[in-house]
Amino acid sequence: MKILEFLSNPIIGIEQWIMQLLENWGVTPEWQTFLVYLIGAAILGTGALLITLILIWAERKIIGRLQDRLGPNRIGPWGIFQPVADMLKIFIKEHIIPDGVDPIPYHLAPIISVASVLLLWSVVPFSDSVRGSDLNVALLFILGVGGLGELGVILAGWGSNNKYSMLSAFRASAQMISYEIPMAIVLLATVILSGSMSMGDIVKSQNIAYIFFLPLGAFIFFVASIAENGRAPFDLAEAESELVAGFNMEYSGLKFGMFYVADFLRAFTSAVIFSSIFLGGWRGPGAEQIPILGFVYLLIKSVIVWFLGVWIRGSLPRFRVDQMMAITWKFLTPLALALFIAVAFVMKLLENTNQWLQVLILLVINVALFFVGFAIIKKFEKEKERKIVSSKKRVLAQPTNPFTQSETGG
Amino acid sequence: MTPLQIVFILVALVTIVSALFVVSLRKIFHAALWLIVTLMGVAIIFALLEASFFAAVQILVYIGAIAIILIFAIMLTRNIMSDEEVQINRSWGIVLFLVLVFTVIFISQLSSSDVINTILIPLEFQGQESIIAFGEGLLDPAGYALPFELASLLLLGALVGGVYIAMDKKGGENK
Repeated sequence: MKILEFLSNPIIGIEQWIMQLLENWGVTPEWQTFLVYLIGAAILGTGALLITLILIWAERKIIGRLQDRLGPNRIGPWGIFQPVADMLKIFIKEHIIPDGVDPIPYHLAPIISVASVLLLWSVVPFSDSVRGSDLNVALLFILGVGGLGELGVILAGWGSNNKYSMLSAFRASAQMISYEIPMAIVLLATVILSGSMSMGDIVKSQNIAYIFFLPLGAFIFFVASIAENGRAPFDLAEAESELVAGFNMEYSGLKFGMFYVADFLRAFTSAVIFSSIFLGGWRGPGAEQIPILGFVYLLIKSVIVWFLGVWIRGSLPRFRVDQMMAITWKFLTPLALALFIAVAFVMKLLENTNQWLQVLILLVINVALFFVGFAIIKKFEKEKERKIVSSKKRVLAQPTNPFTQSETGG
Repeated sequence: MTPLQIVFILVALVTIVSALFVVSLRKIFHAALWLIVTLMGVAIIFALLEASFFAAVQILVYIGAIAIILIFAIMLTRNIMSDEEVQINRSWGIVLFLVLVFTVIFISQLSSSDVINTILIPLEFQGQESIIAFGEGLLDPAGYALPFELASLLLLGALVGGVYIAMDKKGGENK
């Protein structure tokens, strides 16, 4: 029976075992907590980084299938060991530091990028009792740590001493700062629903998942999180065709690898946070009795959300800079504000009524707001004229007569 | 010594040293980066004092917004990075003397007062209660409702002013 008990909640079991061990060694209680938290943080960080290996393989495979390719298929069955080979290659690659870089920002940027993603894992509740830290301001923490990611991009762009990196850093930070606003407002709406800013409380209060209360909010959060991560269709900062390779172009070897890992991990991390806030996190049938089931539920939900992101990444073309700015400032932010006000009023009016009634009314309001928003956009889209920037004549690669020059300069 | 004390001493040292770098470095971009380290140190000290709301807001507002805007301003301004400027003016000697005198007076007077010798008492609040109490204090008429509303009015005024300055007054090309 004891082994079953242990298997149903292995993390807490191991924690208690280590505590017991430290106590027998004569360690004071304060240092016991400190050491256990240290070990926990190390395991969590390493685990998150190891997940990335599988994520990179899966994402390349899925994108390959979406684009009618095979994807990696050489090393191991279905090419599953491709990221391992890539990792080994990146470890032994020469690390080139270009001339004229600003050393402190240049070397600090990749570290901040990875750290800002790993920090987010510290507030994710994996089950009722297993979590890094039950911070009572976890939502603010998530937003604040997002700001640190911005800092990594700016430092990389500045430190590289390259105009393309710099331009890309400007684009990336403008995008991240802008999309943080609708995200923060939607998170405020979830705080109204749950009455708490702690992730543990938010997950626990979701007897009905918040995606049914706030489908529009979930949509805004999802779009904003894709933009925060700088993935397609919001990958303006890494536009290969316009900016060579974006803010990380002067990095090689392991430092480039860190940006790469941070990028892939951030996509999965935001899926985990989305499923914790809107899909009920670890909650599911039997998760309270058998905590290990909570991990499984959270993983399944996150993988579904993450797959949606990869699907969008493989399907949609990139937005222009002005479109990217218009989406957040003219569509997402006003909608999020309207939604926030509506949620505040409805939840105060229906404070002590049945939860299903609240869901129903908020659902109607969400759908109505969504359609009103789209109708307004359609109306303005018709009125607005777009200037034609390029000439309609096509540039010839070769002039028909080699002795005269054509009008378009061919 | 408990781990908390070790962390506090380390963080306090880093905060003070990086604050010194902020005012003494020649490259203003590096000074801005050290300012971020200083603000981070203050955030960690808030966290050590169990003021988690202030720690999070410190990171969110000061590092996520103000420091980033500061870096933007530096990156977009030309000729602000020159190394030739003299960092001190002629009266540095007398200023140093006055500062030393005031420091001695302050330390000798304050070290015996109650303000410095406050004993920290752990909060009785659990989880969300401290934030709820904070919010109620801000919106309670007997508490800080008036300064809070005045501050929000001030910020709204600044927002409208910023939009007005940035607005294209002639109508211009983009209507």
